[in-house]
Amino acid sequence: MAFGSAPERPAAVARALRFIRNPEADRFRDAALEVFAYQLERNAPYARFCRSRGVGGAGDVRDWTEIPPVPTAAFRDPGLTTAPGTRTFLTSGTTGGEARRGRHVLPEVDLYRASWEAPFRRHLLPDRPSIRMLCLVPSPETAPESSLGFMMGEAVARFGAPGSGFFLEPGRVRAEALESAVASARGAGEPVLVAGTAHALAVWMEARASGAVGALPAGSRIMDTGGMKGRGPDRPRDEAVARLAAAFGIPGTRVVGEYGMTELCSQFYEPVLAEAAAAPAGRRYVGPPWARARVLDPDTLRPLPAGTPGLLAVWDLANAWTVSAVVTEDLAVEAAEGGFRLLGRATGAELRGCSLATEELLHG
Amino acid sequence: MAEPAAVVKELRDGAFQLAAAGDDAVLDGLAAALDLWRGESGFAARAARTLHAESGQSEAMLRFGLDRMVAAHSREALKRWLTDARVEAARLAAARHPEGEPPVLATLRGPTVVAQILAGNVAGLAVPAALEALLARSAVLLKPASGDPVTAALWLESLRRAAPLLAGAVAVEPWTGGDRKTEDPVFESVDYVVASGGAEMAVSLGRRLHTPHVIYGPRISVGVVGMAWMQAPETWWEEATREIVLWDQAGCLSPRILFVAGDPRRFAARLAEALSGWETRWPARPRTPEEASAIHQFRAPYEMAAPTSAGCVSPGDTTWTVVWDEDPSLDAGPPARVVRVAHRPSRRAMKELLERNRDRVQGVGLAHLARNELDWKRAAAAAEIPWIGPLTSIQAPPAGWRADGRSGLASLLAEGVVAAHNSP
Repeated sequence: MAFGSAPERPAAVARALRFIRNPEADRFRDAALEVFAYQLERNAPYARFCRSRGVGGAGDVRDWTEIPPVPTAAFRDPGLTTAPGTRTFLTSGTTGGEARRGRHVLPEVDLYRASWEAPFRRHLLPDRPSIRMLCLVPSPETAPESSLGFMMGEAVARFGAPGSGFFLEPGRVRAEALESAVASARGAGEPVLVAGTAHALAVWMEARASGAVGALPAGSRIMDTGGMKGRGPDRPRDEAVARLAAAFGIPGTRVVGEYGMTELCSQFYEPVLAEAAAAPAGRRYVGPPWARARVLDPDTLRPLPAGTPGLLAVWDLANAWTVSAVVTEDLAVEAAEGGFRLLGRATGAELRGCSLATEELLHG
Repeated sequence: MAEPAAVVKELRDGAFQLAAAGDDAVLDGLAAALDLWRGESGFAARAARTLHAESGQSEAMLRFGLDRMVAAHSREALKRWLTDARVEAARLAAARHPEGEPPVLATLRGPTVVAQILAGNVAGLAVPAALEALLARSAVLLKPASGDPVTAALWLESLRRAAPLLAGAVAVEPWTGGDRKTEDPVFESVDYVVASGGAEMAVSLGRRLHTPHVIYGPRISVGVVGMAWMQAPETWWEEATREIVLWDQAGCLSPRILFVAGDPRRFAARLAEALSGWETRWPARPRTPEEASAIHQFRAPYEMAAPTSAGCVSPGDTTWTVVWDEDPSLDAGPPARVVRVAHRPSRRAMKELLERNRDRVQGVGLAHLARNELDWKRAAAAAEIPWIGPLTSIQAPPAGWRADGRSGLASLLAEGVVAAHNSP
C-alpha cells in the first residue's frame, strides 16, 4: 500500500462520482463513454489493450457495451491506472508469488466510499439504520491491502452499532469471541449482521457444530461473499444458503450474497432482503445504477443473450480511476428479471494436458 | 466394472498362457494387430472418427497422430524395444540384487498382471501401454481415461482378431477414478500399477498404493531455436507448428515455449501465420469456458504491454495464441494452442533453467542450431531432460519411450526378476 496526496479530480472522474451520488441526474451510457475516453487517454496499458481489440480511439465506441473489458489478470500490472496511486488494494491469491497478485491502484478512495454505501444499506439494512456487525473478514488495520476489509471497516464506522467488531485473525476465526458477541446481542434483544467470506463462515460453522450454541438473534442476517477460493468445495448457491441458514438458525431469505472483487469498486448483492415483499424469483445478483453486468461468450467475449451461460463482465463507473470494464473468471447467466446468477468459477484450465489424469483418477 | 477379482483372475490365466509364448509368436501377434490399424478402413481411422464425434477434436489430426504411433511400432521396432529393455532390465535387477545370478535375457518376464491407468490428453495411449506389458509377457488391465474412451476397446478388438492369445491377457475396464470401492480391490489384486497423472494424483496414489508402481506426473516441453529460422523454408514452419497443434497441445511433449535467437517478435508473427494455416486443416476443438477464460487471462498482460517489450498475436477467438517477450522463464500459457516465444538465453543460462526445472520439463525440441546443436543437446542432457529431439518431430519419440525417459518395459522386466528373487 502506498500513501500520498490525492491528485486533482479530472472531469470524467468527477462525473462518475456525481453519477454515483445522484444516478437519476445522468445517463449511464454518456457517463461511461466519457470515463472511457479519459481512461483511453490516461491509462497507457489499457489504451494498448483496446488497440489490440481494434479500438484505437474513444470515437470507435458508441455505447458502453462496446467498451473493451480487460481480463482481471490485467490488474497484475501496477501501471493499470490513470494517475499515481495513494492506495493499492491487492487480490488475495498468492500462487505464483507477489508478482501474480492483482492490484487495484487508486489515486483516492472517494469513488469507492461513495459506491459501497447505498447498495450496502439497501441490501443489508433496508429495515434499520444500524446493526451490530460481526465481521469475519480481515480488519482494515490487519490487512490494509484488502478491499473487502476496507469496505467493512467503512461499514462498521457508518452503520455499526456498539458491539461490532472484526473476528478474523491471520490463520484463525475467533469462534469463542463470536459466540460471546452473539450471546451479548441475544441478551440485548438485538440482531446481528454476520459478514464473512464463505471459507471463514464455514470455519465458524464447523466450530458451532461441535458446541452447544444457539441461533442468531431474531432479525439477524448474514452477508456471505461466496467462493471457497480453492479451500473447500464450492457448493451450489441454494445448498450453501441452506447450510448457512441451518447453522445459524435464520431463514434463508436473510442470507444475502455479496459479489465483489478487488478489481471492482462496486458490489452486487442478492436482493433477498431488499425485495422481501416481492415474490421470490430465484437467487440472483443485482448491481447499483452505476455498474452494469453482461454475460459474454467465453470464446469471443461478445455479449450473449439472456439465459446463455458465459463469462461475467462488469462496467463499473466507480472504477473511473483505473479501468471500468472488467471481464471476470466467473461463469454466470443473465437473469430474465435483471441481474445475473453465478454458476461457478471458470478456472482450472491448466488441469488439461498431462495433469488431466489427476482429475481422471480422482474424480472420474 | 466387472468384479475386479474375477477380471484379474482371468488375466492371470491369460498371463500363464502368454508366459510360454516365444518372442516370435508375441511379436508376430502384435505386428498383425497393429496392421489392422493401418489404412482407410483400419482401426486408427475408426478411432479418429469416433473420437472426433465425441470430443470435437480434428479427425485429420487424430488420424495423423494415431498413424504416426502405429508407424513407430513396426515389428522391427518392437523387437529392438524388447532387446534393449532386456539388457537394461538385467542391469537394473543386478543393481537391486547384486548377489543374484545374472538372468537369462530371453526368459525375463514382467509381473503377472499390470494395471495401466491411462491419461486422456493424448489419444491412443492404450496401445503403447499394452504393448509394453505384453512384450513383458504380463497381462494388462487398461483403465481408459474419459478423454479417450475409444482406443483401448478398439485395440483389444484388433488383438482379438489378429492374436487371440495376446487378447486373452488384456482387459479394458473403465471405472470412475477415485472410486475407492472399485479401485482399491483392483490395485490390491494386481502385481504392478503404472499410472499417468498430475502432481496431486501422484501424491495421493503414492500414499495409497502398496502394490509396486510407477506414476508419471505432468510436464511441459520447450523448443530451442537458432538464428537460421530466418531462412527456414515453409515446410519447417509447417512441421514445427504441427508439433504444437498436435493433440491440441495437450501432450506433455507439446511445445509450449519456444526460446529463439534473434527477434522474438518477428518469430512470433511468422509462427502465428503458420498456426493460422493449421487452423483450417486441423481446427482446434471447441474450448471449454474454463480454457477460453484462461486464454484471455493469459493474453491480457501481453495485449497491454509496450510494443517494444512484449506482444500478442491471435485471431478474434481463442483457437490459437502466440505471445512473445524477453523473459527467460518457463511461464507457459494454457495448453490450448498457446505458445510463448521468448528470447533465447545463453546455453549456460538455459542449462541452468532446465536444471532448476528438471521435474517440470519433459522434452526439448531443437532447431536451426547448426554447428552448436550437439552442445545444446549436451546441455539439455546434462539437465536430465527425458526427451531431446528435433522440434519438427518432438512428439514422435521412438517405440518404448516413457515419460520419465527410462524404459517402462525394462522396469517391468526388472520387477519380474526381483519378484522371482523374493518369492520363496
